[in-house]
Amino acid sequence: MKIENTQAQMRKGILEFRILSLLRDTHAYASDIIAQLKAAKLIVVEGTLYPLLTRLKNAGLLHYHWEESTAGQPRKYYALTPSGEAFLLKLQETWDALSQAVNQIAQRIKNQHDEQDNPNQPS
Amino acid sequence: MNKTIQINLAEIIFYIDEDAFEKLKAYLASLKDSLGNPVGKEEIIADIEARMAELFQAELKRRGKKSISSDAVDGITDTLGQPEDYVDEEAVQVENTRHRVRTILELRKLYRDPDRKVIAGVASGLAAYLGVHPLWMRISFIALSFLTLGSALAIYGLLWISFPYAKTSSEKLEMRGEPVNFNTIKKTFTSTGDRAETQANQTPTFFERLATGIGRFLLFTFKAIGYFILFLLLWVAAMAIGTLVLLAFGVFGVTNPHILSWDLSFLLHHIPFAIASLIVLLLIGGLILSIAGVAIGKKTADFLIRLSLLSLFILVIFAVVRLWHIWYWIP
Repeated sequence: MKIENTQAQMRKGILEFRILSLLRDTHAYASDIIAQLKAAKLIVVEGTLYPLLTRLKNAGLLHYHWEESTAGQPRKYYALTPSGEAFLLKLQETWDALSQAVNQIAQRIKNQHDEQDNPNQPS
Repeated sequence: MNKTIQINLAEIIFYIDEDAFEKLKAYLASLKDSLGNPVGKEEIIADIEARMAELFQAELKRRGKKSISSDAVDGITDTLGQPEDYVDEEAVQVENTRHRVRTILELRKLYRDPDRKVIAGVASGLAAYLGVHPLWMRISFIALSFLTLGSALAIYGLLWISFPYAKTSSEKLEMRGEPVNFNTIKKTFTSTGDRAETQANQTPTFFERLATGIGRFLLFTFKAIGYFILFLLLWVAAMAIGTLVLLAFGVFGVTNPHILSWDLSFLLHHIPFAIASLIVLLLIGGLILSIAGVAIGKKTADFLIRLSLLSLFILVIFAVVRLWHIWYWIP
């Protein structure tokens, strides 16, 4: 079993959540979103994002407006719609519950690991 | 020396080397292919092209060059990703329910099938279009020729004239509703080759052939009866709509004894009218359900949509033939 596949699945699962939370306070151009997602290692290549943004837009979670840029052609700036905000809120709740549960388990595994490494020290 | 081509990417003019152009063209083509047919496909591609234009502009400025080189295209591919990176699994699902009819219409085309033909490949072509075995279509044609006192033969002739043979590999794929790309075309070549080989290698004995023949015939008979009834009902439905249309145009307002005495099938339009309306209602209801994604399997939905399209088409032909007869018989 390849660990890369599992890691990719984990990142993929939270990709939409991350995009929506990025756009909560600020509207952003696709390149800005890509830069942030790349920094978080959520996507590797830009191409993944375009179908995703269009789908979220068609689902009514995002909207965009055109803005002139210094580079030349106008750019699409995306932002959350009200239903996008509601959607994000629900995802946030799920994320909180999930991360809490996962962190607990992860912490326990880590503690056990530490005990094995240093059996003499009291835990 | 390198030949340069002028292209328009997101309303911006670029000069691009010939080899780089071929590379870019192939990239865009495979990208469109792997995107499938999601809602807003044009928009996604426009966004990607706009991004490409932006990246190319930056690249040209950085290198101080006038035309896009093959390396620059490779750079773009690295940044944007391989075609399979564009696949968005969720989007494909949206396409299935909302754009089903459109995809079905775009995917399959009506051709005459030269590989499975008996007379002109009309029945086998229709069978490929509907996704059934050609034999059902042949039986339907023969039966309908009797039932409609020859009108079905006229329709056969019109279909013969109207539709071309599926000559090339890509046309054959279109006929069967398979996507046309490099892999599938390769597959058609290999599968035809395989078939020839198996036929050459196996020479079954007379009794073996007889046994399988009887088995197939029994199975076939049961299926044929079912399909025949289905086709007949739909045919009658089509005629009923035809009658309605003609009534709406006031064609039958002209009562002419010639028409009644000339064509007995005229009676056939009115007797099963009530039943036919019911079937049409069921069919339309079923279609709506299937488009809404509620019930019946995708294959059944496909079949019904194709069948209703086909009956509509035949109906139009039928109406034309009928009008012509009526005008002909009124001196």
